Amino acid sequence: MHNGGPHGHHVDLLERTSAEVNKEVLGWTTRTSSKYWLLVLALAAVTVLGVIGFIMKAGDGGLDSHLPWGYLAAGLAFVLTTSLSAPLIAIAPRLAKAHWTRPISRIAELWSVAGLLVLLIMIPLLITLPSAADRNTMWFYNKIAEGWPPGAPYLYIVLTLVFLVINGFGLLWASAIPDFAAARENATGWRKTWYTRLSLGWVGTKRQWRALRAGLGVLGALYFMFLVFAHTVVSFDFAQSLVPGQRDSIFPTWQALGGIQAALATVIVTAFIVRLAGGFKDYININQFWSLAKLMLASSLLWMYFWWSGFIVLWYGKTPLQQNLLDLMWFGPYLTIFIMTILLSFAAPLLLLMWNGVRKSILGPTIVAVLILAGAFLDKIRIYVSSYSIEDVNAHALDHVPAGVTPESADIMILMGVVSGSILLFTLALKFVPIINMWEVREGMLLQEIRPLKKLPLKVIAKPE
Amino acid sequence: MQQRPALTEIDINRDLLRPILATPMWFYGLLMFLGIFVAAALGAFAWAINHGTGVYGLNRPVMWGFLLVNFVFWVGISHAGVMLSAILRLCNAEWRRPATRAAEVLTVFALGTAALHPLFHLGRPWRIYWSMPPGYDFGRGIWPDIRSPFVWDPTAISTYLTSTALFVGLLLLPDIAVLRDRSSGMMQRVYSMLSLGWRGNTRQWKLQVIAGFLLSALILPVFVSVHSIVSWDFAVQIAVEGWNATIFAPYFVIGAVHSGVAGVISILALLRWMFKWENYIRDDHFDALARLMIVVAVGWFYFFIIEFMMGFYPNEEPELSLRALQLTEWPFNAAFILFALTSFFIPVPLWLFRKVRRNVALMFWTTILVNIGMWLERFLIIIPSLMRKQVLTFNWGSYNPSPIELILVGGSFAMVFTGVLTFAKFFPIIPLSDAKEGEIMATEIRVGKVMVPAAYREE
Amino acid sequence: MAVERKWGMAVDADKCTGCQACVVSCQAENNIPLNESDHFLQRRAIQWIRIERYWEGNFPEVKARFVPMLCQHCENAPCEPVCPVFATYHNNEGLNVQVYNRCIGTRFCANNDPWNVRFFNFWEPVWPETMRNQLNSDVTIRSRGIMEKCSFCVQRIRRTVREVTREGREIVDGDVTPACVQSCPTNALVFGDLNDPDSQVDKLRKGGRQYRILDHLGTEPSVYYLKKVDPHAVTEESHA
Repeated sequence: MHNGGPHGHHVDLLERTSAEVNKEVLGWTTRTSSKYWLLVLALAAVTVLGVIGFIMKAGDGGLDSHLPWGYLAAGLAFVLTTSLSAPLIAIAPRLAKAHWTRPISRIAELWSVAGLLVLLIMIPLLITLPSAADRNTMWFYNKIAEGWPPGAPYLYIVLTLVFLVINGFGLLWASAIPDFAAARENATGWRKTWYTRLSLGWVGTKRQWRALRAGLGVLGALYFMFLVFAHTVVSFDFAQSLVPGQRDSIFPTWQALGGIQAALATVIVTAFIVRLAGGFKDYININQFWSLAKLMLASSLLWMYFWWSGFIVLWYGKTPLQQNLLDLMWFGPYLTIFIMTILLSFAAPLLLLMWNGVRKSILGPTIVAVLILAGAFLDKIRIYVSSYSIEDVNAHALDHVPAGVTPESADIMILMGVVSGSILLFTLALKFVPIINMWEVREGMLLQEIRPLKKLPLKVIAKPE
Repeated sequence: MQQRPALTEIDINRDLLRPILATPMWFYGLLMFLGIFVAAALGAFAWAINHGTGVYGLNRPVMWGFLLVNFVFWVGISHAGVMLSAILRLCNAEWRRPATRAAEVLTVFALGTAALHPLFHLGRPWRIYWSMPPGYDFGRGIWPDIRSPFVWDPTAISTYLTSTALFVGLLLLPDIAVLRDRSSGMMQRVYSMLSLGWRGNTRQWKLQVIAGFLLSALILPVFVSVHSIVSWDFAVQIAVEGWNATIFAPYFVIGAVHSGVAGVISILALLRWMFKWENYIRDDHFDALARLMIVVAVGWFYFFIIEFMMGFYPNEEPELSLRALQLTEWPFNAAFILFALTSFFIPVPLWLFRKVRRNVALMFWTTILVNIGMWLERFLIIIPSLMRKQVLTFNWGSYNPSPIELILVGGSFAMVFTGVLTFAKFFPIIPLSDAKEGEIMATEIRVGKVMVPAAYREE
Repeated sequence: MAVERKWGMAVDADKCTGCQACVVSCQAENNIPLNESDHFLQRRAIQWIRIERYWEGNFPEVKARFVPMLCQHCENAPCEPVCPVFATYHNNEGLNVQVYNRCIGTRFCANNDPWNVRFFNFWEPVWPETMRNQLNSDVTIRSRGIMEKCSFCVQRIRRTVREVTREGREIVDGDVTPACVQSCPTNALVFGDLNDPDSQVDKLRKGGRQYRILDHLGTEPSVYYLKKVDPHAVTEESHA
């Protein structure tokens, strides 16, 4: 755009041979330092703290009522929004045949390992969830026929989340097969066994490549569907259906969009850390951060737009139910958290990312990503803690707004444990699965080159059919 | 992108300027034919002004009918311009090149036609200016009521119309200059004036590119806001239970993109056939546009499912009766099935196949189906909901469109096509500079034994 | 007057016989266009107050219930903020006022009116020569393209206030009677100042039988309906 102007014109293309790529990436994967184990230990300790907090709370109030468990539900939603939404950053650009995601696609896919934590947290939440009888749920339990659909809502929550996590693992595995095959050559011991097993006899024939691409396409599309459905189900069953009379149709789509925004932020922060820790400055360069920053700006604007669409309808109507909902969700006991969310999820991203210099840098988008993650964290707390605070879930309509639920020490421990648990799973996984998608990066090097166009070096990008 | 013939600048100028400099006879015939329908529509409007809104099929409680459906439909179509032009420009997508100006021009005329509809449906249209500042009696402090969505509407639509017109006009300058240099007489003087002294030097091109990016970015919020505001005409009302849903804004916007991009594909197919532009509007363009349509259609379908499902969610009247009306009673049940088939279940599975995506005739017909479906979607949202507003069954009503409304709706399609065709007569509807730039940027990369098509990318 | 007036009405659904005297007198008082059978079939008949009839039960135990329906003059009227030209607003005496001169006919207010008590002049109203002398000179004649509805006979309110002020006294309960209230044979309709604790309407609306139609919408109607509800009655499906 600035043809050789004062801003300079740098074109960043990775220049390595295939062997060099394998050596650098696999080297970091197989090498564990003492710093690494220290990190794992610290994360494990905080995770155990979270478990202790859970046991304290379960022993104290028990698992009879859902009322004390708002913070745990917020934790589940937070992991769903950040970690489990991250693979989208690998799937969508792959569909659009974009090249800039190649170095970070594995980072995005690897976050699906946090799904194990989601499945774990799901269990006590399901135990405490009130039955679907006598209240509005998306499963229309008892509304179609007596006792129909059977098992609602528990069975369907389990199916949704289990399928999502399995799909995530499947996607991760599929995309890693060629890399496992590359890794098995020089590996020893348990690594060699597992890399050989998981690479499923990959040798890289034309047929295998075609099958792999088709599989990635299908698994990617399915993951997207399951993820959107999971956002819908979780935001319905753990939030909206617990508030009698709430009928906010934009809510599930807004949560899904929040997932996209937080997914971008998760990948940016992770890419920043991996880049420094692994010495991958040439692989993960300004292009990745710049493109992710543009998407993050767009999703932040959309986030605010979706919020406003919900607000204007509820506020304009002024019925008593709508006014109570506004109070409960936004302007009542959780007003401070709500203001902070608006600042962190919208105002800060807009005011920072609207500057070219901030977008086209490495530190700028990373800082904004951290702010967005903080905003997402607070937002989930606001939504789920407020929804979990309603005592009479079988009432016809919300007629009064309960007081805000302040976190006990056990709640804080649980939340810390949830966050560190998902980071722990990721940290453990990245020393087995190569953190950079070697075959995609090598393919990218084949399809991009720098050529002069009328004396100016420009990037040439191929889009094969 | 597959291999395509290399075109010189002379080829491009000659082919793309042919409709302007050597207009075929059938073009005028087509314009006259469309003109009949436009005249009929204007005549119907004159009839309505003369006799009163009683000539429409409206009644109590269905106070808004086909004209509002048509209004929302055309505002929806107008969203294609920004979607394709701005977003694809910002993403640097090569396949935008033939589509941008056609989409923007469709936007301008669709929006202009939509803006006429408030005039049609108002009880006293000669007083319409009271809803815009300075309003009725500003001397005594009575300005338009800013709480009313009908004040937000003209604000949003006029902003969008102005900015799109500016967008088209600004990016048209290099092409007007080309025409200036190739025409004579009266037209030459007009083009001279309109080209604003374009010389094509480096500074001017640099300003063009910057302006293109800036306007693309700035027009995006406008585009999202316009159809959201139109949706809030309905969603803020508490009296019509079927409309009081928070999802309306993004639902309408993504529906607009769905119907708008389909409209652009239809127009591109028509332009390719009419002017024999197979080298410029190629199969791979339809392929890429169809893949975009799949994504948009699936997104739209998700919003539709949520909106529909939330109707049943509270399990209360009158919403249940409303859905029963939409699904089981004539003519809404037929309309519903037709809508579901045409807007999603026929086109989208077809578009999954590469052969279909690259078949221009199939793309044309499937996108026409999409727009039939989307018109029906607006119909199914607006009219049954008014027929079942609240639980007071004594006030449940019905609606039959009148011939005047049908003429106005049909005439509106003629108005938009006339506008687009008239534009194509005087200005190149495929940007010359974009086509030439595409030729320069196109290249190939050798990967192993194969030459893969590629493009230079300016960052 | 220290306390502001808030005009309201109490409608006794137990006493209403469905005779439609209120409908006729309202038409006469307010220059409402003549409704022919065509207008009813087109669902464009204008009746500022109408009797809604709901059937309960199945033959032979069928009962007809009558509900006189008129503009509810809501405190938080949903029809008010949606008018782009401020043609409808809430005045300081509790009336939801329709300003004919400002209306441009968007019909937005009629859509956001849950009780469907707003009426639109789709055609230019026409009175036969013989009916012209019957027109009330206190009330504006509306042209086509304009919305109209019950005004609580605001012309009678204004006239009474003028006369009472001329007599040098305050308004008391019973001074103002809209046309429908005046003509009801069973006194099912009671009109007055809801802010006046001595008024009959205020006593009735606190009497124990009161309810408001579509109360859950939170619009605070000024019209209260009175009905004795038998808690032991078997509830049946009712239909219009």
